[in-house]
Amino acid sequence: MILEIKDLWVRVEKKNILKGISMKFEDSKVYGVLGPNGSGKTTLAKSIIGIQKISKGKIIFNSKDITKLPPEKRAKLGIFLGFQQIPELEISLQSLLFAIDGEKAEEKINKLKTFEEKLGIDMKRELTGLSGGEKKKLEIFEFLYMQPKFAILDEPDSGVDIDSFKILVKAIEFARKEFNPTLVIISHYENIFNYIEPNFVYVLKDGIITKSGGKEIIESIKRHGYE
Amino acid sequence: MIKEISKESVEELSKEKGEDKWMLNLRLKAFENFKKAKNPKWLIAKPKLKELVVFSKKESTKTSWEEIPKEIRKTYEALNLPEMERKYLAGFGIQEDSLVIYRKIEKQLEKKGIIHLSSDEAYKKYPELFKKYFAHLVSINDNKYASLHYAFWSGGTFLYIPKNVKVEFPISTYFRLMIEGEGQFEHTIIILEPGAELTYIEGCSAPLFARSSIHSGVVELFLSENSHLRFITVQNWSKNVYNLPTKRAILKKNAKIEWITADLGSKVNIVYPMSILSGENSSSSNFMLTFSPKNTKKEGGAKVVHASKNTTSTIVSKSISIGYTSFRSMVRINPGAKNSKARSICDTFLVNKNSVGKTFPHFEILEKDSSAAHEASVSTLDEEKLNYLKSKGIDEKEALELMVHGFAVDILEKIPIEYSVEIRKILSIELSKKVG
Repeated sequence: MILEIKDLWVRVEKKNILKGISMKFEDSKVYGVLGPNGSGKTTLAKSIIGIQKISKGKIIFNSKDITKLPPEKRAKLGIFLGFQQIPELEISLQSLLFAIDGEKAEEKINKLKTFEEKLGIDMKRELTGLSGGEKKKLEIFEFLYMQPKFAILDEPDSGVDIDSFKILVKAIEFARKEFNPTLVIISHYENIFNYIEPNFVYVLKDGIITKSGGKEIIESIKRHGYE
Repeated sequence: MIKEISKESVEELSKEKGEDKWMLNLRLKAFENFKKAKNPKWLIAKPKLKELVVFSKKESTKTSWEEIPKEIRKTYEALNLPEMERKYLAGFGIQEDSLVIYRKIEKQLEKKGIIHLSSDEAYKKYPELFKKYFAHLVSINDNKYASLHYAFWSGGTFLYIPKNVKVEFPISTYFRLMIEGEGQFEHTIIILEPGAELTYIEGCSAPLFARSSIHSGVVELFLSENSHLRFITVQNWSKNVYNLPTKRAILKKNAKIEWITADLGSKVNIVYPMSILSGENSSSSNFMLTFSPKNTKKEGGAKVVHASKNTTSTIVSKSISIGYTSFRSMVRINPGAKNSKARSICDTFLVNKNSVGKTFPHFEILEKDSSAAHEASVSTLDEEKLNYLKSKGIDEKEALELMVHGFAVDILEKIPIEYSVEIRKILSIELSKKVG
């Protein structure tokens, strides 16, 4: 097991967003986290990377309790979050990656030339005024660049056109071949799971896990919704 | 050493320098102006003037490092200046306190007729030429601190670039304040004859003393037809210095000036480089980076007068505020300055919640057939940005550095890398103090 969440509670503005969630993730497997809007999926993702204050619970990564570890240290351990929404940043991707890795960044970027082109990444452009699709591609590029052990992709498919969607699927396939991370894909569409088959599925609703099991759950959601 | 701001001090200084009557009279008149003048409204903090050292004597100006006493040389070697001169500069000078202690220019440039002297030397050696330009752009009653300057001016660089001489490498002067509680009043004159080109770099620093000092230099720049000047200032005074210089340029037809300023140091800094676009098609750009560490106040800005047709001006100000920064500009388009364009952009990065950033743009558009535009923005490293960067493995200190450097990059790119590397270091050190 690479990561385990034990009885996680998150309270924001006097409202419980997550109400005692427990999850287990194994090495190099693919997980689907599905749920309607406002069910707490993004809050869960932010709690795992450490930018969401939690009120109760534990997060264990590689047998180590990381509940109190700051996000930058979690990232260094190999946890990655591909954001659904990213802020406007008056810096280029190049300077961001150099801030992470120093000179080594150059070599790592060079290895991803094909994806840099396919994803239409401009290393020198300021990360401001990006479209929804461009933001998703940026997060996918960062995912490939960081080669994390444990990656959460928060709705990588929303607001993405069909061509970009295909590239995104290719990028994920490439990642699985190259560094084979545990992959947690959060989505409220089921389509992406037709391309990247999950080993296990969690359904989140109103801050609790309502269902978990094999990919057949997705079929059931398709037919019956999140009932 | 002459102490105290007084009429007697002015007379003593003039006598010490062996000056003519006209210069003594000019000094005395300036001194009267200084006494009469009120502190300007824009003075965000008043310097202490009591017991100020207004002049300190040194040995004569040397033209090789070997002649400079070892003890003094060490300071400049530690600042890496002799190496910088060898590798990168066509000419170099150092002013310590009141006087230029070192100056040198490439032989081949001297042969082309370039004059590179301290202003004291130029006054003696080329009296006519000196008199023609001295105090012609910045008058002795321009403002209280310009008056103080003219009463006690000493040192500074005098540069004359003959017709069509394009100086390939920069010429630079470095200023040091080495005495506690002193005033430095250097006078810089640069004359570019038609078609001449030059990059000039001012640098400065000072050790930190308990008592504050004043730097009130005057810069007068004369750009003839088709000449081009890049005037770069990297100001890194220690945090006990009041930096109150007055800088001005006048441009003839097709002339072009770029003011590039990085204001990093000092306790209080107020500077508005001014361009008078008197010739058709002349242009002025002003790129400035203003940084206020904790407990410092910085006011940066620019003035431009469009006095002829087809003139253009650009002002780009980037302020990084931990303490207090303000931007003040005055752009005037005179009647008849048809088809002139003025543009200013003023961006502020607020580091802390209690950092202050203010802007005071002022436009006087007196010609219909012209255009003027102003944009302003404020950025911060808010929680959302910080969280994003942290989640990618960047800690708070690194995130702040990254964002500030990203913010400043437009200006840093305009500064030769030999200097901008140093500026980046200074920014990083001050920012880490903030987080640490």
